[in-house]
Amino acid sequence: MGVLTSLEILILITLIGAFLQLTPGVFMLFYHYALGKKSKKTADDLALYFLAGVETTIIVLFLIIYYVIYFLLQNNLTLTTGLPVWLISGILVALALFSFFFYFRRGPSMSLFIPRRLAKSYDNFARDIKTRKKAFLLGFLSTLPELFLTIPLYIIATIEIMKWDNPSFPRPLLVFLGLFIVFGNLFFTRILFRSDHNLAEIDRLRRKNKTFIRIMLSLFYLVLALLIILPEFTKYGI
Amino acid sequence: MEYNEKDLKKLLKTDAKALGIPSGAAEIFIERTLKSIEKSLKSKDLITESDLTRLVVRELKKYHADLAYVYQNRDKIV
Repeated sequence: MGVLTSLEILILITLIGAFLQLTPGVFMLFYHYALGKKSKKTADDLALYFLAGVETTIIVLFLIIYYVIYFLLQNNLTLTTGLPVWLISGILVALALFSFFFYFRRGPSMSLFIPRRLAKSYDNFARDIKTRKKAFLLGFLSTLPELFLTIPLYIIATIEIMKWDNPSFPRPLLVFLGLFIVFGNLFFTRILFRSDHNLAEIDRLRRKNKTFIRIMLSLFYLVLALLIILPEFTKYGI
Repeated sequence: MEYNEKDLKKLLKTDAKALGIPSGAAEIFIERTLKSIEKSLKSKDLITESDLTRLVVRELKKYHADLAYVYQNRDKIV
């Protein structure tokens, strides 16, 4: 696979990360309650700890996966051809279907696939946050239910980054750019709150774009699956 | 379900502050909303959670659409 395809894959992965809705949703609830109970300055401070919780989780997960794959490759296991590629593509197609049919619940609201009891727990937890530690913990917790949607992406991203050998665009810069885009939606939500937009206005904006988000999310997974499986087809001359 | 006016008032005040509604104005229309709800509940022995939500939202909409929206959709954000 060339540098261009690797770049396309990495861009798609970061875009999927930016379109996922659970963490931004929990962040919105948390920021709303923080603004309702604390001063704007304290709410901003707590919000930074929430973001740190999310970032730490993603970075730690990414590093774990990176070292597992590194270990596998050191032991001469092939991950870029044959069965692993078919398996990952199959998972991505399944996730594309999931994103289209089940990621959002039916109806006009932004209710996600998570059980309603869990959604209520997030609401209760977000409402009671008073310390930085708890804000950090909520950031960590908000990433967990979507792990089945993100772990395949981290695996693919790791493999692509390991293969990356373009001297004009060093790997660390690539990783940094990827993380920046993934967190883009959280920072965007924070900017909206800071520029005096409230929970109702931001949620209405999300609702207006719900269908777009759903279609793009499933399309990104599907295109990603195609990009990964395509070299397998060309190998057989199809 | 059991209707708890104190909890509802606290919740609405938090939402109002988060939405940037001036505290004086918020106090007035939250009081009016609660009075109206109390009046409606006098004729009922029992009320379901969804009925209470509908009642609160209907009253709040008269004063502040965003506050009504947040109250109605808090469990539908995620």
